[in-house]
Amino acid sequence: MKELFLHEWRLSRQGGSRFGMALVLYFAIGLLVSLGLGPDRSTHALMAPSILWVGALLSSLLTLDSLLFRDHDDGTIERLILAPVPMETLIMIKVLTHWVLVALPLCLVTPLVGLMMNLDIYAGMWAALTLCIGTPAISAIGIFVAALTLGMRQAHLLQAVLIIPACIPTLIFGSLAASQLMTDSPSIERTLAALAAISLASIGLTPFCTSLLLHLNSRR
Amino acid sequence: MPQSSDITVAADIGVQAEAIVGQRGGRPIFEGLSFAAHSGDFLVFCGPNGIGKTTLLYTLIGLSELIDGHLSISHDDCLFLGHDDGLKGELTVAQNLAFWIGVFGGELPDSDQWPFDIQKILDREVRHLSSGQRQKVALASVIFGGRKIWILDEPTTGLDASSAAEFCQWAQKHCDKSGIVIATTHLAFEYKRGQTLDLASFAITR
Repeated sequence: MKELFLHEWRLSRQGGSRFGMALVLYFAIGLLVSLGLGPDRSTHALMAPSILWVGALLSSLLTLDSLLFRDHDDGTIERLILAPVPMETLIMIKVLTHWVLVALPLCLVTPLVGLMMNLDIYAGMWAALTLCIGTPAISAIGIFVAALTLGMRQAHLLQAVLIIPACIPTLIFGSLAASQLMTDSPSIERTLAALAAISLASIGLTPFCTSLLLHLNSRR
Repeated sequence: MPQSSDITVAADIGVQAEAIVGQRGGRPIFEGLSFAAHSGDFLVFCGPNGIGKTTLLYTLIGLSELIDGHLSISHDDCLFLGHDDGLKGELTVAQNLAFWIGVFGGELPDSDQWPFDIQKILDREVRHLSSGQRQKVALASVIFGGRKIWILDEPTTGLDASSAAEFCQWAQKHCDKSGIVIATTHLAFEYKRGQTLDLASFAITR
């Protein structure tokens, strides 16, 4: 259990440039969109929550392909099936590491990216909060989709096609929650609850579904 | 091989197969294969390429479906090493071994007890190793994995003669401690001490 986490952590740190890339992409989206929107400042703040959410979503999807493909290719999964550690634990650890190394940094820099979108720092923090609540769902859904396309030709393409619709509910409730927080809307509690529910359900179901997929996938 | 009639199900039977039929890609590839591996047995399956050696091992660990026959094996006691060794190139030998040995609940040996002089390359990254060295690292993870039944696909591939001999000694030592080793090879002469079973006589040729 400890070994699994340590191993995953080391591997992810070795692949550090990929995770750095997610951050750079996030900044780039924030910067380019704010430049593209032109000088009218009022539109910026209005669109900021959705832009931040779309940016975070795309950036964290960028790193998903590394989650399972290597383990599948180099025989790790094949060997781990006999290990005393349940596959579900392995999946959970992978989701957790992905979230900590990719999604959490994105959440932390969100107030900064928000500044570029003419959001004040507090509004940026609210946006960061909704990202913190919602992004676990993206990590979890991502690994599930990665397992679904494992071993297929053109898996990356299929993965992209499958993952976008799967992330839409998270995106809708996430950006809604962010803009409601900024405008002090009375229905914010319900939106946040729905966002949290999506995250919790994804985290709860993913280990079992993904582990089943991996077992099926390893059969010859 | 013992006939099925004189096998009494004793506690020390680790693996027992009765008339199993295995498949690869949905096509039956061997049939009527029966064997039993008791504690202390060193079983070697040999035969030419494509005869179904790897498929048999996958069948044993439950990754390939059995078409017919009966197979009794406790997967909780097994450790499998196939052609893909699960070692990560960007991590050091020590980190890889700590992972694979730790995950199976084995114990890392003292630094002077490593097989194949692995202590000399512990801090090197696996991607900088030769394929023979890499195989030695993979075998070390099996040797100290703490599992009773080793299931190994061509374990001596890439090893030089003296390392292959050393591996046979480790396997023999494992058997002496009432472990079981089931391995495949296409070089029938390598294992002088084990019982050898030629898979060719069970093959389905079309």
